[in-house]
Amino acid sequence: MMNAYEYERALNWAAALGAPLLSQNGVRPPYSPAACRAANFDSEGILRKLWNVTDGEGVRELARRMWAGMHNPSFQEIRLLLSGMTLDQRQAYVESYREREQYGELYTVNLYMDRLTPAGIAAWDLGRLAFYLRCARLEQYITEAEEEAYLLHTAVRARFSYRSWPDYAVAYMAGRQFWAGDLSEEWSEINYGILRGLLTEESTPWRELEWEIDLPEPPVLVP
Amino acid sequence: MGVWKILGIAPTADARTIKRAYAALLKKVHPEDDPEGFQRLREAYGEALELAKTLQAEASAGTIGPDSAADRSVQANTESAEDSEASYGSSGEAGRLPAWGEANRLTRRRRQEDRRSPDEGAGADGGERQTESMQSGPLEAAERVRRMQELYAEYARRIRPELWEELLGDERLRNLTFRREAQSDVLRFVAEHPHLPHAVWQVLDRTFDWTGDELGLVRSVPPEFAAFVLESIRQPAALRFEYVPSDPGFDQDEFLGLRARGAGLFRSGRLREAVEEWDRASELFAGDPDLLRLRAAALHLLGEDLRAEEDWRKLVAQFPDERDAFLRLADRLLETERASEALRLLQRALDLRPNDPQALLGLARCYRESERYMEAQHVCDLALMLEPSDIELRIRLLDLQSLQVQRLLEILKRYPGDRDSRYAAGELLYGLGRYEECERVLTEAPLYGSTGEMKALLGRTLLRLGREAEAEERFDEAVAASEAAGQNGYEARYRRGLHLAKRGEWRAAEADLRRAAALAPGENARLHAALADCLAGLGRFDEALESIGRALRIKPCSAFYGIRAVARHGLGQYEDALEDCERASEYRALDRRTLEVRAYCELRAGRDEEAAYSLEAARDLGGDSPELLAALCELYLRRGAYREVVAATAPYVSAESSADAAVEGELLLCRGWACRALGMSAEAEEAFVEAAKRLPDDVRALRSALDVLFADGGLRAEAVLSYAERILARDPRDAETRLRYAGALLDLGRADEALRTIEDLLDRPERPQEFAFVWYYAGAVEIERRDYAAAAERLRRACGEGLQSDAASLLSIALFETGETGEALRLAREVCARQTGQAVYGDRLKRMENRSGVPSALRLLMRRNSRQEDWPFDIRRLPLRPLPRGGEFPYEREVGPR
Repeated sequence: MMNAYEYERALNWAAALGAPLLSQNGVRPPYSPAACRAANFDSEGILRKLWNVTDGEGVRELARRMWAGMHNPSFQEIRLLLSGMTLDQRQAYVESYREREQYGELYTVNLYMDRLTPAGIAAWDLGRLAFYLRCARLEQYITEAEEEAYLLHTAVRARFSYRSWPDYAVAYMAGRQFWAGDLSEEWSEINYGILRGLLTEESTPWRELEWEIDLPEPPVLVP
Repeated sequence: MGVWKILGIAPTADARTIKRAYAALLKKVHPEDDPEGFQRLREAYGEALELAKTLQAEASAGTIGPDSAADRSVQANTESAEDSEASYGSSGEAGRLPAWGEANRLTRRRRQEDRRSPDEGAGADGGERQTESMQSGPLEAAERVRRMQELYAEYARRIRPELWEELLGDERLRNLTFRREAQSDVLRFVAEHPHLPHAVWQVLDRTFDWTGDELGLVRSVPPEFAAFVLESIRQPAALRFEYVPSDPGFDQDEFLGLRARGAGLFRSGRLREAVEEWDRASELFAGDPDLLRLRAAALHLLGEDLRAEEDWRKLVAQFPDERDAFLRLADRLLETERASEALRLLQRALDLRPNDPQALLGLARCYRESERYMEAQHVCDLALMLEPSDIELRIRLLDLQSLQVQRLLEILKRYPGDRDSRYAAGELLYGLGRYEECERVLTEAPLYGSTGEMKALLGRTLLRLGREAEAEERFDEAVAASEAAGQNGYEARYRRGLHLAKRGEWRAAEADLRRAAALAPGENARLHAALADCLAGLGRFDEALESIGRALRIKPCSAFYGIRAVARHGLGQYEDALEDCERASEYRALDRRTLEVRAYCELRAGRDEEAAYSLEAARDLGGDSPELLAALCELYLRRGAYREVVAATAPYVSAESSADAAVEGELLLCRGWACRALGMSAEAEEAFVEAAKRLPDDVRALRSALDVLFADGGLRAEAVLSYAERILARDPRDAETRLRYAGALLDLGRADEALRTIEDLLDRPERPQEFAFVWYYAGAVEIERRDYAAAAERLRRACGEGLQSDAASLLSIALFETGETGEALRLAREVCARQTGQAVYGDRLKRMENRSGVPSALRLLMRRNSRQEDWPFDIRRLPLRPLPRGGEFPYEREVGPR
């Protein structure tokens, strides 16, 4: 049985999955609800404009979709296709798409597919979900207990899909790159800027909370 | 005769035995010598293969063999489709190849039917029957197929595309009809013999152009088989055939079938089944690199890395050119903390392909694990140069930098006077965003002194910590220290220049940045961009454009496009500037300044709605600059919100001219137009005159001031003349101003000068808008001079241009005096009837009527200077008042005379 301190740490760990989006929205660590409120970002607008989520059911549906994977299935499909090829074949195949819309996606998969764990870019979906759950709680679409339950389910998925915070960070940003289909140096620098503080500053959860943290058994979700 | 007898073998389930027997007999039975025997042999071969499968299935007693799943589904297909289409089998399902045996059987049946009823018309497969009766002839077609079968049967020859090229090198195949007939047999052949290397498929495609006529292919064979053919031609993951043993004792087709089935399963995500197929293939032959590579990839994705490692190791051991294996095995070794072994593999991979970013990243990881941080960092830097979008490289670098900082801090504990290490540690800490630590490192050992570079770095750090005043002191000290020490002051100048530019201290910034540019060790995009910023701030837009162009050539960056937008806006290139604004906003929200520029450009381009949005966004960012207000006022004017303009610009009327005189001038111009629209003439005049003071070289402002003064009716004629002269000095072709100039001269009683000006105006090609007035006034002057004939000519023109009142009245005088009494009286009466309120016209008519009894010739004799007052006429009472002009302010144009 996990004590209160450990449980609190586990929750902080789960919330820290959303650190990239939290920090982009001006939230300083630790990413407590109070800190989120202080940052005064438009949590309602984010949920409504991006996901058309305006209530608890919408949030729960969003979580189910994110867990099933939003961008990761496409990533994995391309990964599978490219996995059957030699490196040279892969290169030629990707280049054959240079003038086409899918080029950015193919290029990104080719770039990261050998380094990512079998979970692929699930981090991108899970990390965003952690952030949206916090938004939902701020908007009181879900209760504190419900946020915790969904966060823990998300955390378990992430924890056993990756090996470290940098590992998670790479997968998250590979997902972001895949989503944007942008291969420019500037985009990469922007993404790096998002991660840099999280990975280097002394008092960020990614530095303070070890990846191999013990997570409690997530509570059964009420449908 | 039974199939086994024809083949000369005992019934068997072994396909290899059947194939060997068939291949041997093919050499003896030639289609030209014995066409029927050849046909029998082909049919026997197909039948035997079919029977072999049945025997195999029976032998397995219900167990599922490697082909069974595919065969079952093919069977289902063929049963449902009967004879019509199923002869080519199907490749629709993952891992399934066409039903070769079934195809053979069905083909045979069709041919038997053909033989039985030669006179029957063409049915569903009539095309095929026709083929045999056409140009190529059955014998020739059979011969081609026989040669293809021979080539296929001998594996070492089968995989040589040039032999296929030779075989299919029939000139007649260039003929479309001939090719279509021939392709039917070839397609049937490949359905039965699908295991061909990619290069051979391409030879076939070059010959029959299947990829060029997909529709034709789909029409001639079942869609699944067409898909299989096209996929075989296009396959991006072609497997190699040259490593498969070519000795006749090895059943290549079985191996290739298993390998291909596995690849199909793999592509459809059925990894476990794919591995099982490959395991079976491996039992036949374990030395195929593609088989090993594919199986390892599937095992890796299944998380079975131990087994995958075995395959990768086999690959590395047996195939020293397999770069993939080196990289994959190195990855595996790195994951399992065997960096030194991984290092060797990666070096070999780099030997095969130098500067491969994937291998370089692996190498950096190896160095890092071996605590060779500097080398790791160099490798990462190189890899990042080659692959700038790789986020992992950046993260690895971050990690390396952290480790290096630790090491440098250790060194500083032992050697606090080591300034190089101190500066290097500071740089790294700054790069890592650890600003407090950076400040501490740079300031904790004052005894050992600081270089200019260290002070500049401290300045940057303090800026990050929000201590701007201290930062500025450090920048100044940095420049001074560099100069005192005779060092290259590049870093100090550059950093201070950047800071000054950010503060908008353009001149000082430009000086620093120019000096830095001269000292720069290489091209620095940011430096040129900052310089461009300064030049734009100083209004030197051409230079700014050149400088920012240079920066963009070095490194395209959205922020730089924002600066170029400012420069282009300054040069009036509004559409280009808007494009740059678009690029600038690609990655980040625009800053206030660029938003303002965008709003200006949108206003100029007439996109009011977008401009309103941009202005709103700029205001949200705290924008309250005069530039923003000017744009906002322009927008208000366009929307007719004049009172808002008047309210917003009120503080600028009485204010002293400041450094922003140009923008203030714009604001006052807006105010003037708003006041004019609201009928606030005095306020309009004040605003325009103030605007002209602030924009002394701007003809728009000067014209506005001139016009408003001119409209006063001659009271400010001296001032009007002054403005007009200034405008005409800048724009001598400005006919409207020249007209007003003439009007002012008349106001001042300088009729001769006015007439010269008008004469000059009449000679110019630039026809003023108020041309009628010019003719009118020229005519009036001639009347004053009593040159009635000239007056009549000019006044006729004025009337012709639409003037009817005074011009017509004066014309009547000119006509009366030149003897055209009747017309003069008619005209004078018309004017009186139209303008009943004007007594002067009545007086003129009365005089004409009184004098109309005197003959015109006598009237001419009676004309004397002393009698010129006979006509109620005073040129000063009719000042030249042209229409207010429009054009420069598209949002407002007054109409009608004032």
